[in-house]
Amino acid sequence: MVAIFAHYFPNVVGISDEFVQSTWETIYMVVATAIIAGIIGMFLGVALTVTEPGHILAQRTVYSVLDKLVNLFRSIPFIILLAVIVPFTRLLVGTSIGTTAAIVPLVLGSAPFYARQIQNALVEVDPGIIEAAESVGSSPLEIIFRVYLKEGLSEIIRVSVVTLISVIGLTAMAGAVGGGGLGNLAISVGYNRFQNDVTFISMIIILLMVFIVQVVGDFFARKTAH
Amino acid sequence: MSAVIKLEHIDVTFKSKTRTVQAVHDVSLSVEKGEVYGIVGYSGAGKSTLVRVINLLQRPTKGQVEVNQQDLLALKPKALRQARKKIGMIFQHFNLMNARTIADNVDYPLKSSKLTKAQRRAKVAELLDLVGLSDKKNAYPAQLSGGQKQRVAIARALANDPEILISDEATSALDPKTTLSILELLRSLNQRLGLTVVLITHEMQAVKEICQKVAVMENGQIIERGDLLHVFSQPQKQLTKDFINTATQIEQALGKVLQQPAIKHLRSNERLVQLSYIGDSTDQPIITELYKRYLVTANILFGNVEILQNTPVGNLIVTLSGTEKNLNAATSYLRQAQVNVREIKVGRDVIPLTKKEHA
Ligand SMILES: Nc1ncnc2c1ncn2[C@@H]1O[C@H](COP(=O)(O)OP(=O)(O)OP(=O)(O)O)[C@@H](O)[C@H]1O
Ligand SMILES: [Mg+2]
Repeated sequence: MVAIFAHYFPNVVGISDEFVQSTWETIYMVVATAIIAGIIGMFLGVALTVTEPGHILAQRTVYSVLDKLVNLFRSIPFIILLAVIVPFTRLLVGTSIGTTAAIVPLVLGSAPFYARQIQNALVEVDPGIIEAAESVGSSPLEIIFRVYLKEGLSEIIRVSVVTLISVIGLTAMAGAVGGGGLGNLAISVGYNRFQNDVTFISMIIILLMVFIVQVVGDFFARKTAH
Repeated sequence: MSAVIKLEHIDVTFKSKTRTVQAVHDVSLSVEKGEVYGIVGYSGAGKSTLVRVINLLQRPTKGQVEVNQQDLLALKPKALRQARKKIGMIFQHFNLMNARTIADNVDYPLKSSKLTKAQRRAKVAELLDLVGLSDKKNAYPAQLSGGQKQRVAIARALANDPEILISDEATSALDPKTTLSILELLRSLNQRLGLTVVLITHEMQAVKEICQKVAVMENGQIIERGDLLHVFSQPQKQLTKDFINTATQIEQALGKVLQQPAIKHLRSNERLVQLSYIGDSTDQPIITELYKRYLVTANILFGNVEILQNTPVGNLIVTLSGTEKNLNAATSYLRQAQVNVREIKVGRDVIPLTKKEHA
């Protein structure tokens, strides 16, 4: 078995330690981005939902500013964002290379995306249910936590999976420009040194991560749908 | 008797960039404690907008809103939410929370109350028992029928012991039998708990079933209102008549009667009349009297008797036959007995049946 593997993937075997480390780096970037962008995106998404005219905390100006901001950030291609953000990253974490530095553009790239996804998930909540909650005297905060987030949970999980998968994709891109992780390995070793087996296995590991996120996410999304 | 709901000169205007809609126009409405008040009107009449003013889910553009002796428009948000707890509301599409079980749905309004967990559980059990759904407490809304969902919604609306229950087309999505059972439940809540009910509907049938008072809405205004019996027996406006007709089917019956050959060629000693009466008149054996006194025979072609608030309201279509003189005498006798007699001139006075279709 090992012999066959070594035969088909000669370069991979030689740098198996690097593979383990890169995998951890990718996981680190994904998890850190997921937490930070998750919080920011969730907050923005909820804010977008409730401040939209006609909703429970309607604030036309706030909504339109948030809306435009989210659109703006979503319009910047990630590869350009990576470059543009460098001075800011340096200011924030002291360096612009490495996994921790990569988290800055990753968050900026994915939080607005997640915010929009959350908004899309929450507008699915039947306005009639919101009205029913208002009619029994619920406050806006109660409606957010006990109605929107509860009724929208299954949909929130679904869009979180979509976002997480897109973050995995973005980490590979960030990795390619000095962020570390599997993307870095695939490009700097696999591509640049013509070691196709390294690129291939990097891809397989990334696909595996996507697959796990998808399966686990689907399971919980289904479990919370009634 | 004191008014628990007092709306005065309510205007609601919706403005958008392209157009303005005046959904409610100068409506005043006063509902007494313990009443079941019906509001009927076709789609778009402004019924929902008007009742949403009662708990300020819709703020009026103009007017006064007084509920339970409180000026709601003067309340701060927190106090308003407190006031809303005393105004239950049920909806056409039930609006239950799909991610919560039946028990959790009913428990929802209690979450912000001071009750302990155990007290809340007891209260939920009591409410589910009240609406006859104790066995479904762990089910999810998706597993219930429409009628059961509306019962859950009623239990939820009653969780904070409101004095008022607003029902916005609560039976419009239900079949006739389920509709009756829900109306029955509302009636018993009204009688047992002294709950004041405002019932919005486009079905006169529902109003007829449980309301004591009724208001008819058209184009954002109340065009006719009063005691059910009064409005039902002496409707003034065409729209009101149309609504009543949908409940009694008298016009449709008349249409069919007029198609019959025997009626098309009425003999000279025969008259086709519609007799309408309320209450007492029915106790006298009128039809027999007609023959005994005037030798006038009556052939009943169609009859409808409604019992409204324990009072019969009848509509008969009959052909009366006898001599000209006796027919006239019989007619005045009927009128004396408080029976409304309307002669239907065959061939000329055909009642148009399509009147309400385009409304
Ligand atoms: N939020 C809103 N914005 C703009 N127009 C509205 C709004 N709500 C209601 N309207 C308009 O106000 C009018 C009255 O609507 P309303 O919902 O009160 O009617 P309704 O009598 O309850 O009808 P239905 O039987 O269909 O429920 C309609 O013309 C409707 O289009
Ligand atoms: Mg309505």
